[in-house]
Amino acid sequence: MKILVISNSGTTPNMVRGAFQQLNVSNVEVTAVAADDEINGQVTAETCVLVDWEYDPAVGAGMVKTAKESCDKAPVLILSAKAKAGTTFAGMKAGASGVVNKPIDAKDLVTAVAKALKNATEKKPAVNVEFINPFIDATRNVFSTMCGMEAHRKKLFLKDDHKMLGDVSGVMGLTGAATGSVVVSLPKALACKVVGKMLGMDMGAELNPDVCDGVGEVINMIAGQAKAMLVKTKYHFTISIPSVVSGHGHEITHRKGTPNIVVLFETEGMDFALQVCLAPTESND
Amino acid sequence: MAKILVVDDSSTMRRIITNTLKTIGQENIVEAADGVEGLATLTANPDVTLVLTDWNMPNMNGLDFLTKVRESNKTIPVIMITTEAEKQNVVTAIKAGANNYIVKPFTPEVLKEKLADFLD
Repeated sequence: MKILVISNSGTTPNMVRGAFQQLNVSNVEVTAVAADDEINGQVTAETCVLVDWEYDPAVGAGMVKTAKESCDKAPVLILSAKAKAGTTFAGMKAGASGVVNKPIDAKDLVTAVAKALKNATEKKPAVNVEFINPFIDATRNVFSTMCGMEAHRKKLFLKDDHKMLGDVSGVMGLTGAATGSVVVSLPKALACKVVGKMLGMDMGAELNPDVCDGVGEVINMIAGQAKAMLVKTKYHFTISIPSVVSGHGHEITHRKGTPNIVVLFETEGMDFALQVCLAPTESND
Repeated sequence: MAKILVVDDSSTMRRIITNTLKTIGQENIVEAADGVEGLATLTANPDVTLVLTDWNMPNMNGLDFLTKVRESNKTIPVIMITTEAEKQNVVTAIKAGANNYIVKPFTPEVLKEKLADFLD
């Protein structure tokens, strides 16, 4: 197992080595560089790159991009002590596969690296994403109609873990001919802005019950619109009552064995994610 | 002067609707968070002249609420405001006695236009 740590700290690579030693994982080769311009062809598809995110988000994102440009198939994970939603979104948008929190928990790190390398090297079956466009269109329409905000689609990728990218997420369970869930996950500042625009008032900067209720209504409208667009297809579903989960790094499970598609959007300089996990019900039986 | 009952489990949506109503001079508004509360509010406010209701709500959904309202009141205008945008849902609501149907998301202009026929 090869790991390349990009960090200007001498401590972080040692902490990474220590984590693998602690769990008695052998055959691990950890190398370190202080900056991304020192990578010099050290990244292959079998290398997991760890970017120590002690930088400005633009610098950190630049490092992720350089690593991916060096070898697109190499998984890149962010190591961050202050993994705020903005950091996570910037890293994922640049091509990172996930975030590992600092201080490093040995088990978390080893599991994340092993999973990232497995995902990067194993051949995946083609994922059918024919149902995703109605969700994208619905998201744009809800933001535009209710908030007067243009939501621009930035990136689409698959995500295995349950950790949400934002500080607050609106969740809608989907049942019927197709089963799964759709989640909209927003950083705190954007959630306050979106709900404020819906209500025509300043909601402040902190999550409160009113902002959370508004996020629930956003996912309710996105799911409802997509539902109407998917009528008479094998992806048709019914909706019920949305729920809202908040807190940085909160987790929401999705249906096992069903691809979990993340669409990153940008609006008014901030990022948010739409997560859709949906498959015809029969195929999950 | 109209008195309007707004039934929706989302406080955000209730506020969006009431804010829009206030821009057209409709200040006499009562609110409820689900069908059960909606029925109780109607009983307590027999002078309500227009009902706006969501469809998907806990305890009692908007369709059941509408059906219950029609059991005792055939004439009060009831408008569904919902994300349930499929034609079949519209037909179901109209058959159950809804007078009009507004699909979320909506602009204030659409809301005002659809309510115009039911307001003084």
